[in-house]
Amino acid sequence: MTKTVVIKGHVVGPRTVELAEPVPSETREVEVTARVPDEGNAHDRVTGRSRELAWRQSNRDDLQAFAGEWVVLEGEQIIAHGPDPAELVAAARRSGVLVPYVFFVDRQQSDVVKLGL
Amino acid sequence: MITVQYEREFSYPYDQDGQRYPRLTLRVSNTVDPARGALDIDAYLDSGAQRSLFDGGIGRALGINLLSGEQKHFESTTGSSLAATLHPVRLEHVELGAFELAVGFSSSRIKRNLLGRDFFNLAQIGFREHELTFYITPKP
Repeated sequence: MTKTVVIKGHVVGPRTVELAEPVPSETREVEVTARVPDEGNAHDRVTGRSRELAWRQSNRDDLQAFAGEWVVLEGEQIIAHGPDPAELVAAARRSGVLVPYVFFVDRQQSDVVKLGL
Repeated sequence: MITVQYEREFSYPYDQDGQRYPRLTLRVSNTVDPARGALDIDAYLDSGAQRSLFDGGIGRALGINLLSGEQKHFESTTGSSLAATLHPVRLEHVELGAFELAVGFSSSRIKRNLLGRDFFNLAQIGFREHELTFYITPKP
């Protein structure tokens, strides 16, 4: 399964990732959707990810394209998305992101009330 | 009158479902093998959880062997339980500093990383739900 998504002018195209280690077949679908700029990520210190959090809030509806998946976001770029955060983190590190920010995109469902677990 | 003072104030951030939740963005690293790198994750404050529970995929990304570690079963209100193993991690927040905690990493997929009462034991935490605001003082 591959998707091409446009979010606020950023064209995000699918790219196949060769995984270094075998993984269960149901978790093999990973997409790296953008390359990190050459300067790489500067998050070798804890930042709080204010830039990413602001982007998530302003692009909340558009991120529903990835509902049910984990996403790695660096600045305003979606680096990778898929069902397994471990695979996404490995793919993001191969793309040059030293400390990936990974989060789950939940579905917008007005009839669902959440408990902690 | 009882007065509790807090050092830091946080608004509940929006989640992707359009709702606001008490959540922190933390850097997590494997204290046993820090060379395996760190991640930034979202973790939800859950005073109903006895212990903290993170998705197992986060643990694997930190180089943690989920087949090792002390086994625990996290039970939900329905009575169903989720197997997890405990592993020591370091949690860092840009304003709150660092916390060392043995977190449960789930053997099956979960959607939210939870900070339970073991984390609450390391910080004084207060909620004003009506204001969608929470307050924290590390190391009470």
